[in-house]
Amino acid sequence: MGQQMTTTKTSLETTDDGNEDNRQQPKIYSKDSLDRFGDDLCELLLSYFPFKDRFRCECVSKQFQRTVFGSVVDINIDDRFMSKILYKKRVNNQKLVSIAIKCPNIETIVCEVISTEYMK
Amino acid sequence: MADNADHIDGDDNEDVRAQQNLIKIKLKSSEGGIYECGLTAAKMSDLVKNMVESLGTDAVVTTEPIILGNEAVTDAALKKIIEWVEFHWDDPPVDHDFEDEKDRRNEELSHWDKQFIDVDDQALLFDVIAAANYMDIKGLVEVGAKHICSKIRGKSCQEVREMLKITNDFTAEEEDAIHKENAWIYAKD
Repeated sequence: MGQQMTTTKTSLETTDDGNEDNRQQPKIYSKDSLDRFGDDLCELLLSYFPFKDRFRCECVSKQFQRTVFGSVVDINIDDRFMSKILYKKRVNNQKLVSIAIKCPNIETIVCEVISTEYMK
Repeated sequence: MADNADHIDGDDNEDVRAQQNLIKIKLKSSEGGIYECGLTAAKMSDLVKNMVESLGTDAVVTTEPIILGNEAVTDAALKKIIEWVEFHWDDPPVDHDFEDEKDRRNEELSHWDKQFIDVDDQALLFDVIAAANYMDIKGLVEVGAKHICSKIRGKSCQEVREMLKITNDFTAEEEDAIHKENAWIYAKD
């Protein structure tokens, strides 16, 4: 159990999966740095993050960029959101597309809370 | 005890759970420290649960310590973890029904959990989270995750990096490009 983890200084070194520009050499991370966590755990932690804040945090690090959107499974589209994606009274599809590209695991888009003025 | 042995998996029965928690097992940290923990509490760790069940009888379990070899399981982290499972062992079992799961994810931490996880020593905090993840204690990983998320909520990228000591591996241009792509989503209305 866990023998594979004893070979490096930290057991929870980032496990890069072939992304070309990630440094592949075993790295030693400081114990009080979130960098010590692998992508799986990082993704799990960030899965508790509010939707909007995920976008704010995408550029924290490449690990955040890789892991911050994977756990988005449903999106709530409400009036505030609608007002953001409207351009000259029409939905800006590009904005929706950019969200869809970043969040590959979306299962549900909830539109129940959009008021009727947007439904016309 | 002979009766209980048949119910070792029957975790739904509260009496059995309470009785089993009187059985103390030993957990050994990666630093070599050995600590006692109630059996029901310890089995909140799926890793420990599987190890105990593969060993079979209670007798073996109570004499030989269960070795937790992952580096994150330091003495200090293991003590914290035992404190947590000993407090939570009689929680109602987590319902994996999707709607409940969603509610639970959005639920605020209890006062006790907040105090428990609010440790100043960030290396210890990360040890506890990584160790809980290794030991597969989902409830505790969730407590850690909620704590970290509440700490970084509303913070700028730079503040998040400083707080969690994350290395910025983007170039200024890359960072700027991502900002430009996303700003409309998190901009104040």
